[in-house]
Amino acid sequence: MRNKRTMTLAALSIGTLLLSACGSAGGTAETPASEGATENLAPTINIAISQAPTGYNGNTASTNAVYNTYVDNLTSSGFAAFAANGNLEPNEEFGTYEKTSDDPLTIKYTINEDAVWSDGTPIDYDDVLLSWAALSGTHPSGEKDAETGAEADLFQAASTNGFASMEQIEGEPGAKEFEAVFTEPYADWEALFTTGVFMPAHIAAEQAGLSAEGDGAELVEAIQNDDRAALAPVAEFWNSGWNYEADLPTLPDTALLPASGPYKLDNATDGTLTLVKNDKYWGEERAGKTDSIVFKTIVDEEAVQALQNGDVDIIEPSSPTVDTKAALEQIGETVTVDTGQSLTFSHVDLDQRAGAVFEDLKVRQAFAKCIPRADMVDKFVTPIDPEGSVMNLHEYQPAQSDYETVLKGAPAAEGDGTADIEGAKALLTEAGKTEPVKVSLMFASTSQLRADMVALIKDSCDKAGFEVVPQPEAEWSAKLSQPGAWDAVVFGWAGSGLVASGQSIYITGGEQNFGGYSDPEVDRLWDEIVTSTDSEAVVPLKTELEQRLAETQYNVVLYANPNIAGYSSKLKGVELNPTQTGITWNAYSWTKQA
Amino acid sequence: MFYFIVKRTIISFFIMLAATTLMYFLTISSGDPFEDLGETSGPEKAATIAARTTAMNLDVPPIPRYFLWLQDVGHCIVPGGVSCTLGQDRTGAAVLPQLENAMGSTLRLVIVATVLALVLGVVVGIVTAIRQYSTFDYSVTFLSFLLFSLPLFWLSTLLKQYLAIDLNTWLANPQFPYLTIALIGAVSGVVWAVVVGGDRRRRATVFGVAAVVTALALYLLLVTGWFVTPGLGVVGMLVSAAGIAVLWTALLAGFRRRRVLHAALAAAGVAFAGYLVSIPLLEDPNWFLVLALVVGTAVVAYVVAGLVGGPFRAQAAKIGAVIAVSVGLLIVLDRLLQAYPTLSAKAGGRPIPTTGSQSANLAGTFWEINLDYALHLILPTIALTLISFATYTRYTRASQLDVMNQDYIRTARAKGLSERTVLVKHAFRNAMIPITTLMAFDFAGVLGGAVITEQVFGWNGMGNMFVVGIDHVDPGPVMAFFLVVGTAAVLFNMLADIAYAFLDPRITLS
Repeated sequence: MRNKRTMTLAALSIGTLLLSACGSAGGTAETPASEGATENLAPTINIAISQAPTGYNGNTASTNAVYNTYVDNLTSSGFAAFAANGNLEPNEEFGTYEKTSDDPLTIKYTINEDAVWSDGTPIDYDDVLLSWAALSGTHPSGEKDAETGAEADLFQAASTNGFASMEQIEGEPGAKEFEAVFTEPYADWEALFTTGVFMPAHIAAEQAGLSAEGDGAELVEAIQNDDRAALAPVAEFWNSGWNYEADLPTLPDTALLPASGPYKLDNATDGTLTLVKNDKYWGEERAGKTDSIVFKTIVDEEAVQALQNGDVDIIEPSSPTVDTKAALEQIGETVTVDTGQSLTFSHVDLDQRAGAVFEDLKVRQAFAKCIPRADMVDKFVTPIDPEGSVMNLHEYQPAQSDYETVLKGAPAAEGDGTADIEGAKALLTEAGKTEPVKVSLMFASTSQLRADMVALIKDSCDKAGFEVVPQPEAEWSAKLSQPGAWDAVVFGWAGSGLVASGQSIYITGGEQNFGGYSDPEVDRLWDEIVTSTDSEAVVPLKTELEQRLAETQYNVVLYANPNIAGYSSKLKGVELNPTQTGITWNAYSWTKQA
Repeated sequence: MFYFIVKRTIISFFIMLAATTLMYFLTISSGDPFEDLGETSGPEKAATIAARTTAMNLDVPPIPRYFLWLQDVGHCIVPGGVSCTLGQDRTGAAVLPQLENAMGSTLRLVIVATVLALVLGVVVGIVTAIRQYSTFDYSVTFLSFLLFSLPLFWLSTLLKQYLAIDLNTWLANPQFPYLTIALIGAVSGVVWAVVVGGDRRRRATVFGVAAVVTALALYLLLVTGWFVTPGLGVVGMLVSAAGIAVLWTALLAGFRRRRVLHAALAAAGVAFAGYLVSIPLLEDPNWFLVLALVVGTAVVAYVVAGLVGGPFRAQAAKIGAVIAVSVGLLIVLDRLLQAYPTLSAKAGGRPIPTTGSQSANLAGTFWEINLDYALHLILPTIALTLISFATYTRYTRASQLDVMNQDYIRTARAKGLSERTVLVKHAFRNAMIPITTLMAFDFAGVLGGAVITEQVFGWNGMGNMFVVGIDHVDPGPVMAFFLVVGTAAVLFNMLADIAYAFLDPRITLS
């Protein structure tokens, strides 16, 4: 009896189990139809940034950060912008420009007749003149620094490069055309009036107690007459009036923040910034395609999960690792992963002052030969970007179109990056080194990547007759300029895509020539490059420069850092940009399927 | 008492002064404030360094620099003259507004978690103490140690994966295979059997009932589409109100006095009537209206329960008010749940976010907006609660056990008092005295925010301000953080001492 009952019970439970394995309960009753979305496009695209933007005017020393550029790309227009190939491209929707004279260098600019700020005020001469006044460093405040004796400028510009050698721009209030005349030739003249440079002068004037009537006549007069008393409040507003509160809890009054780009600022809450389409934007090609774009502040480590959950539609983590890519690819087909190269590159600088370890060219060459550059690329680059390669030039990165051309013209720079231990040994013997050469190799103690790189170098170069001593430093950047604090140092440079910005790295006595390198030929070439106003003429000069830098083994260039962007597969139009402009350089053309 | 406070304040002032000195020099020597500029070569570098040097007074030697900072703090203490900024951060922005924002954010994030951990921890702690050395006790001990030792960033990652990413996907099409429903029922049966305890037969019954009820409830919720359009409904509200009435009566009065139970049920009736009346009022209210309704209902319930309570008027009236407030909370919850379908659609069908403190540009009713806040709070609150839950359970258990073994508890039992009276009135109150200290410390800690949680879940609170400040080697924000947290620690410690003296007459302050 009891046995039978147990049997029945067992049979019943097995039956239930079998039955339950094949059915399921629940499900969605109906999917709510999404209304209001035109052509099935989502009304909003969410972009992750790792820090909140700090200010609307990204031209000051304190707000000059990549997070502000991310936003400026959409809210601002200029005569040119960096495109996906790393080159500057004219933006004819904003206006046109042409070089009218080489001596003195003169550029004629014409702003589009229809170009207006998002509050309706035309973009014209007063905006141009304010930009020149703020960025040229020609308005000393009268206050002297107690120690250096240098006089501070009224405007705290991040850089006066280029504008400082531009004469005051002549014109009448309301004019849409102007001429920039340079007192000395300036190679990067095309990169001056780019995205983000023009700020709304009528706002600055009003906030400083000047009238904005008559196309900003009062402000124009103040600048033309160099009326410091009237300009001081303008400068004060330009310096900090457009700043946001830290972590962006709210936006200042949006009336103070008119945009010149396809989008304008709408609101901000707790680190989240919303842009909406600029209804006054006059252009067609760059006109915004999505109604609103939202920037969300998310630290890089958390961005992948936020993307997976749909909190954001696109992320571009800085310094991506193999793990970042693996995590992104694991999500599956709902997320697209793009990889490419950036203009930021890693390199080893060598102390070559008199008496230093690398004074002798042969020792430098030996060190360059034993560094396993190809290995590093295999370990740190190709797992992320399969196209990545060893970098052989200093002034051009593989992501740039001119890289191959220049490399062909500089045979001394070529190489596949495989460590040549025997060659290094032979060079050291030639240099007369019988004892192992002790090299103190400095790197940032906070970076695991740098530590791994140093371990690879030590492993390889110790075999070739060096004795590499890793030197992790928290304050490595301060120690860079201290002679004798290091023998070699691994760090990165953020390439700018500009022609002249590298000068101080290579010339004798240059501020960022940390190894004390000096070569008259290189100095001469740089003099020519920075005054060359024809971008075509720069390439052969730089080819010559690269050849010379490689012959004299200025340093050892390793590789260009890989770039990665992960985005929802519903998002269309995303393209990586290797420059500091960031992924949003063409976000106005993005669309997202609803 | 007065002298005690004065003495403590003076001592605390000097302790804080010494602590700020230490903290300031530790911060400025923790790294290189220009580290992030090391790899930039552009022309902006020099200007940025100059601007930062001015903002952080880096051209002044460390000791005078500390006094400059003290001077900035002084501006905040001494009224008049220079405005109070608490110094500048490295971009030259005043620290005080940042501090205010960070505190607002932090209070929103941490208070709910702390209160939740406190309530859950104390309740579970008491139950484990009553059932010492039972399976339940051992399970809770195991669980609380496990939770206590979980690294928060890892727990957060798991929570994001399962409670946000996977749950959102499931919510888009909520269904379970029958097997899963049966398994969930079985697990719930085991949990209940362990919690309720008793002999083998009783456990088997509890297991069976709980498993079947859970599975059935889950099945019904699934087939009726509750996960698509959740809410309690009128019937659910009526049942819940009655349940709440019985529960509070059981806890606060026991069933020996029938009149009290009747009064409680009457109060539940009042609250339910309030619910029916409030349906049109609560379409899109504001906090003031909600609060007014809750208070109004509580007052009416207080009066009605007092009238029904007859001879036990005072007790019945209090219970009535408690019931009305509880039902009020339930109504708020119900309304929030009802707002779910529209909010979920506005969030693109993925309602639970992994980051941030609110949705940008959310236009909606009062309930949608608050549900959005709540959904943003869910993950960080769970993470924080799970971890501080452990401390509270352990402390409460130890303290309750201590009290339960005292002579006066035996006396109370010998008098013939009901077990409920012994536990709630005699044991619980005294067991709470040591917990006061813990609470004081925890609430001081609340102001400090949750360093890792804030960063992981993208909240710009105090903890985040501190971490970023340390990262930038920027003493302004770090010291502002320290001032608040340090002062809170000193202050709450003093309050705990004072509270002690009130709770325990044997202690005098001198």
